[in-house]
Amino acid sequence: MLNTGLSDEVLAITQGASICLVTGKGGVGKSTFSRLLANLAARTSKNVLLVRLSDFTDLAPIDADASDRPAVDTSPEISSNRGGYRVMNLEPKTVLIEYLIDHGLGSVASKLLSTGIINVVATAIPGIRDLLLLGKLKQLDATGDFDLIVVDLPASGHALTFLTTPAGLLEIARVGPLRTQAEDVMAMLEDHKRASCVIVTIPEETPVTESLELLDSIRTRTALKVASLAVNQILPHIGASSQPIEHFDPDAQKAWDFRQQKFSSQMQQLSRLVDKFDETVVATEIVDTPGGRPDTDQLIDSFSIIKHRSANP
Amino acid sequence: MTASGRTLAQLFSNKRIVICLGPGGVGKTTSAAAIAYAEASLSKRACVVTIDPARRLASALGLADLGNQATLVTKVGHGELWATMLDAHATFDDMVRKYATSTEQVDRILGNRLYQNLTTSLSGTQEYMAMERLYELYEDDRFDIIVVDTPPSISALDFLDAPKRLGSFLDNRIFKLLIKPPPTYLKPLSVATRALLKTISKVVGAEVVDDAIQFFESFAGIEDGFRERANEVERLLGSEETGIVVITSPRPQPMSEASGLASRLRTANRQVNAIVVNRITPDFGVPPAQTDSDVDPVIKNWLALAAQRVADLKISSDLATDGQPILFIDEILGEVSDMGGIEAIAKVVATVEMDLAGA
Repeated sequence: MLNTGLSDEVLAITQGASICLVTGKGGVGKSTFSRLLANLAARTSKNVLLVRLSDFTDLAPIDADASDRPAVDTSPEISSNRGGYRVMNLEPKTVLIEYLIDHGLGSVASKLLSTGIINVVATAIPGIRDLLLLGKLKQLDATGDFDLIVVDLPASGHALTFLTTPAGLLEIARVGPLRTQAEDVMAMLEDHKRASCVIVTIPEETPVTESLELLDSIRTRTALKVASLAVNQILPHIGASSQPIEHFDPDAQKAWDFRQQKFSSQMQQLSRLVDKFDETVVATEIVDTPGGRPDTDQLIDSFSIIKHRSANP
Repeated sequence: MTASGRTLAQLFSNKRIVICLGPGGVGKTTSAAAIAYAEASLSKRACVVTIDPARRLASALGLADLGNQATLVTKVGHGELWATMLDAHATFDDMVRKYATSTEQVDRILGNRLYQNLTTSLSGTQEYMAMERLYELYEDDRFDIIVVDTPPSISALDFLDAPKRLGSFLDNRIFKLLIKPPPTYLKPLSVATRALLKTISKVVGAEVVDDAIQFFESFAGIEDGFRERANEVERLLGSEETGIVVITSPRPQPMSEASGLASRLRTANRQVNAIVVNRITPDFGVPPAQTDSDVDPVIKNWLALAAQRVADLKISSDLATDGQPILFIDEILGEVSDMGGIEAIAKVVATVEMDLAGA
């Protein structure tokens, strides 16, 4: 795998894998972190791709920067953008059609879809969509066009289903093309040079607990490498006061107290993660953007590596 | 902003069902439990249905072991707080047992290899089962009001759509052909169907298709019960007996998700009755204006928090496009996923008048 175009900090996050799956509960800034990682990688590499699984992502537009989003959301085409990386939105339906065409069934593909027969079969074999999406990632990786493919995964409950799908399908499909596909995808997820994942969270008790549970589930139920943890929404450092706190208005004191308490509880949660996880831990600070979302530079400025683990050569 | 004259608990006190919708990570489950608690404080027998509670919250609600069974959490004055967790798999099993025409059919379905996979990983299963469970609880005379927590935004819409989608799935022509052998005059169609199935077999493997067909065949006769229930729930969700509350936090991402959710609900002709915004920056008074550019961090923080509170209230009010009342709940430091957190929020739900934006 050619990772020569990537910086040490990117490699510490991905542990050198060419496909990096970004996962975490909804609302923790998973999509923002995916964008940050793609941006970071694009600083030293021209071959970075950000993949969004459009059928799963939330209703909200992810980025402030409209140029970041391709004009046609459902197109599997890769679009360029100003951030220096490319973006692809993957939708199960288009991937399915592509799969049918690849298997010489292009002529009946539309009929299969319009009669609803595909829906009936896909409903009975639910993992088929996930499998085809994973298969598409494998195919993108195999082109060798990319130093890094960042994948913005669905929220963690779904992510785990998504990742365990191939194994589940191996039990159902004993023979046939579906089985071959499942085996290939399993091999990809198990190969630490090809795939790894980042768990994104925020420094609060329940999200941290759930992230540690997710970490445990991924490690026990899949062979996927958890390369790093990312902690978003850390309060930025604002320095110490030059005067004793009693000199200030009581309301100012209360406000200061509130911030201090919040910060120390964040640090406590951060250390829970650092204590339980031996790989790279990164953090991003809250960026003050009244009424908008952080731009690329603000995002990268907000980012720091708390615990660095170099990728194995 | 003006006071609406009513608390959230009062607004919903004549409802039989309250559905809590909103993005993930905004404290929706805790809020749902708090709403049920507040209804209990109005002498109601309230039951909260949680979908995927964090472990700590589950144990606070006494659900750590019991799961699918409704449990009495606590008495609140003359009212009662009950809780139950949705176990999609157990509910599906129960449904099959209930609607199956024979014990052989039950065995055939529960024994199918695809069944296990279907009940645990089929997207939408959770939603179908949630609505089935909801109806059971609605009919259960132990409860006056049911408060339903839902999965984050997008699946929440699935939840409301589940009755319709299940109906249209069951009405699917292919599905019907799979579960009922067509009469002789339709044989040509069946041949065409079989040809299509053969094509699919080439892609996914014949064995898988056989299993799928067998699975659907084993459902013959059950689908009427399923469809009937779907229609009943659809009617219930659209009736005056059901209230909808959107729960969010004032951060940009959850806010835009919540507003996307609200507009989709409007399109679907579902009325949002109230909005709850958690984690509002608390009120620390009005800091004096600063002329000096080199401000002490303590003052800087005071200014920042005060500005944040103004921004939080503003962005929240923008969500009430139809003039719905809003309940603001200040950020509580520390963990709220326990009984103390539920009680603290319930107090706000039961005693604080909601605001009307823009008035």
